[in-house]
Amino acid sequence: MSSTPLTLSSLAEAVAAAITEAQARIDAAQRADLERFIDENGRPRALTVRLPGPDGEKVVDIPLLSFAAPTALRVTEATLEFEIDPADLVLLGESVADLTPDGFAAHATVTPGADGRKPATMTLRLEAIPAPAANT
Amino acid sequence: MSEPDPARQSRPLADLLADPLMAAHAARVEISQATLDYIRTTGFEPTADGDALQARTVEFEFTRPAGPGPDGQILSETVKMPIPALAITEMSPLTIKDVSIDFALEITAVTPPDSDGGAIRLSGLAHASDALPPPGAAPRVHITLKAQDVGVSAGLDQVIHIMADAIPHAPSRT
Repeated sequence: MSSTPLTLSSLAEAVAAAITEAQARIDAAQRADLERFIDENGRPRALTVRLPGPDGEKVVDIPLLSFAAPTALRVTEATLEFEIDPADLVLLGESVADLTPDGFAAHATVTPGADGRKPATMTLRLEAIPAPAANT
Repeated sequence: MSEPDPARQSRPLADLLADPLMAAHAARVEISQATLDYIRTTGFEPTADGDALQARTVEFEFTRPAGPGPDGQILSETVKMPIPALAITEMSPLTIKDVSIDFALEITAVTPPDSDGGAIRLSGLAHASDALPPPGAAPRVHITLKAQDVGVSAGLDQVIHIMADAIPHAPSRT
């Protein structure tokens, strides 16, 4: 394995960046899925339906989007759990409060080993910060 | 020499995270399309001229009181009423609301940021989340990734409203 040092914050940033990249691919696929509902001229694909009305039957184009609008799938959180030598906790040399991966809120906890000799378990939780709603 | 098993090749973490999410997305698209097909075939049927669909209906016929007759007896009338099939059909489209991905990542490479900056990049092998690492194995991180259906995006919601508003004003074709 590479000798690039992997600190707690760089691990958090690396995972956050990987999630962001994965989310970007999902977003692109979800945007591409809209082509099922929009034709090549940018018009909504529709079911053309004859409906009864007070002035007789009329033909109405009902957009497919109104039947089954696609909803978005978004990553909301990731939890990482790994073993760590209690001695390394000192070597981490950084405050958990300093974990600020882009687009995520990070929380880290350490659960000591059962008898002090076993490795401790570190849990790092990344919560995606929802994008602010667009102004309308 | 035999070819290496692709499933055992080290891959970037972004790929390992994206693959199951893309599979969930593909399943959601299939379910959505099945719902559209269901609405099209259950709710509508082709018209005789074939240029449009008409609502598939079920005709109900029942008798109801129609007030007193000239001799004072209670009259009755028979009423026929076409009911759209979609109005009486249970419609609860399936979808995937929550996705939880759980695996153990055996880190095999840590790539420093490139000259443009950014984060360290991890590569590794994905294992079942309860797989025990062999002695002397590379560091292993258990990862649980959660994704949720967050509904229709704000922009698409606006488009749907615009289309819904436009339908009553669309020029009538008879």
